Amino acid sequence: MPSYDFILNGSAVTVDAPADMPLLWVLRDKLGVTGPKYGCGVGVCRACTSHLDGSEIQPCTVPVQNCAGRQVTTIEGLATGDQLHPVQQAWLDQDVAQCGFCQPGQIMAAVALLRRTPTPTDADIDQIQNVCRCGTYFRIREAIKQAAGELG
Amino acid sequence: MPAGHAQGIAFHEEHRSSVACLVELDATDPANPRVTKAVVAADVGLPVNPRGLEAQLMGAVMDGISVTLQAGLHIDQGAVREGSYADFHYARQRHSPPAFEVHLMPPTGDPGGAGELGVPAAAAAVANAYARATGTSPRSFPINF
Ligand code: FES
Ligand code: FES
Repeated sequence: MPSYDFILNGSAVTVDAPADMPLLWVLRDKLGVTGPKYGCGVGVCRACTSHLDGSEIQPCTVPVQNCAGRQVTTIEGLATGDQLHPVQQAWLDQDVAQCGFCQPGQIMAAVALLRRTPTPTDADIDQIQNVCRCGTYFRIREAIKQAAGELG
Repeated sequence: MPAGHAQGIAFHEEHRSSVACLVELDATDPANPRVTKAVVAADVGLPVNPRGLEAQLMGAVMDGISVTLQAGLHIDQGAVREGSYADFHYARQRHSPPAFEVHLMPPTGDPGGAGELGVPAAAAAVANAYARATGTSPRSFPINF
């Protein structure tokens, strides 16, 4: 079985996996990193949203071979030690999470949005496609605006 | 309201609680209506966790928007046709109202239920707003299905 090296949340990792194994399976089943959630496996629910070299990806649709030598960041890698990322802190301040299942993906999508668009409009926030079956969208919107103010 | 926009209101009671919902809807494109504002007021007797109750009512409005406008299931020979969130069109951020208010009435007694309290009122308010905005009387839901 081939072996792949990449940087996961700042640390070098090596995994033995079939080349076409989706990164989400590698993260969750081989590396025990379960922040990225499995919702659909086909790139539409976005519960697994993480970052590859700082840009948003859906790891259920990215084969592990595409990650060799690159930086993978999951929700577990967002904080700096005990210091939460401003988006995580905004999420706590706004009491966003309900069941929580979609929230790692929502936060990673919000961080990616704020990197591309530091002061997003409502129309920019509308572009986030992550499903929240609990319907937390309004507090997500408020938390993104709070974080934008703090990051800006 | 401007042409193609309308307000809708509805009221519902269950499990010793009551709720009223008002929405504003932009149906200038009737195939892609957008709830632009939602206001919910609830009397649940005794709100035990007010922030959690507000969140539950907001989620109920998203359910009401989804089931009234766009998210349904087809049963085909006993099986559900829809296979994922690709074809089950539960609301995304672009369908959520950018303006949202929840008002909780002061305690009046024992706590009532609020699990899905807001759903019937929200669904009916959305349907009423759509009817008024478009001059139609939808009788089959989701409207765009
Ligand atoms: S699991 Fe649904 S997008 Fe990845
Ligand atoms: S918080 Fe439950 S799915 Fe989003």
